[in-house]
Amino acid sequence: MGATCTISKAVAIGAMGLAIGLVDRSLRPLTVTMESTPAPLTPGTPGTPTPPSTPATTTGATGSTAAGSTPAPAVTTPSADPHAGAKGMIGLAEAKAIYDSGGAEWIDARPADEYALDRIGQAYHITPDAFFGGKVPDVLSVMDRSKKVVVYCGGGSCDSSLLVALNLRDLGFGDVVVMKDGWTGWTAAKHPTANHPEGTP
Amino acid sequence: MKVACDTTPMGPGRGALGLLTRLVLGGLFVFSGYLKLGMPSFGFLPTMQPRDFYFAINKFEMGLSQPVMEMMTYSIAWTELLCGLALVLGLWARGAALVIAGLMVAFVVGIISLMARGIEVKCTCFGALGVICPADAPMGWCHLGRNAVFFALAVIVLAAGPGWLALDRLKRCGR
Repeated sequence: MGATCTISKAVAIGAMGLAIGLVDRSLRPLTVTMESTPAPLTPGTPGTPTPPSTPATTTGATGSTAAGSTPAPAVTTPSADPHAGAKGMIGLAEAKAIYDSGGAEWIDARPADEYALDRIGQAYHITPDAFFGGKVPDVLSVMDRSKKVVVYCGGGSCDSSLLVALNLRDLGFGDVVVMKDGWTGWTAAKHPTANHPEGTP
Repeated sequence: MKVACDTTPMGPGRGALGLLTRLVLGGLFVFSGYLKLGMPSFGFLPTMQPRDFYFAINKFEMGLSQPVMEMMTYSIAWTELLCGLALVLGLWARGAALVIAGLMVAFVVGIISLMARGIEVKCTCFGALGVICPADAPMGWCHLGRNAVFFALAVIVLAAGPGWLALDRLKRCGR
């Protein structure tokens, strides 16, 4: 078989892959930012949020002691927050206010070994791989879906927190935010962690 | 009917080599493409959503716009799937092998670029499965070696032809 024949078929296969990819993209557009509005949920479908339980009685994964006494106050975005303009993304100041309020579930999307060393409060551990194969991580069944969910990863250019947050929104978690500064920013600000509840040294 | 035109003379060794190589390479690429496209997992396949793959290739920081990256996400996965199917069926096998060889060269260049810039990216090439390289390891030397193996397999198909049991050999060029 001649080289021309091989090359022409390679070009044809590449063109078919490109064409099918373009059609598929138009049929199934990707959601890769938190900007889009979560899809409305149909009652009774998997992932539908449960009705809010009594907020003041659930400590959740915050590690804060404030949740047991008073309902979580509304959190306002500080004007100095560098991520204030990006929907679904929060900065350190807002994250710390949410933490202090005790009104959120926290999810650590870093690798398991880093999570084992320390984490924010009682954060659950979920990485993007946990959703592979259409699976739903077990810990979601014990989380309070009526609460805000704050997801973080290492910080910097890591994007596993964003991936986890997008998957959670697909599963019906309506109020999910990503702490953009991540673990690095949190500990650099000497905020409290599971092993250092008074603040990281 | 000009469906195929592979008339390379073939002895037993070449026939077996072509068949075995394209089945291994084709099977891997069917698997690789399928896992990236958010297809059904049937309860055991570690399928990903296309956006998992989008985030992986976005880490290469090629300076392309989001729509182009999205197009690449789907097109690369579909091209891998098509190439894999072509190799398994033995239809346009050499063309598919040439595409795979080209993809491997592009991936090797990309991985070297990542390593040079110190950017750590998980491969997600085969979902949560580690094929030759650990699934949760950042792309590096192991992935370069794996792509070199895939490139070599593609070159074998290019040189030896599709081998036995190939649709390419059912019809001759021009008939």
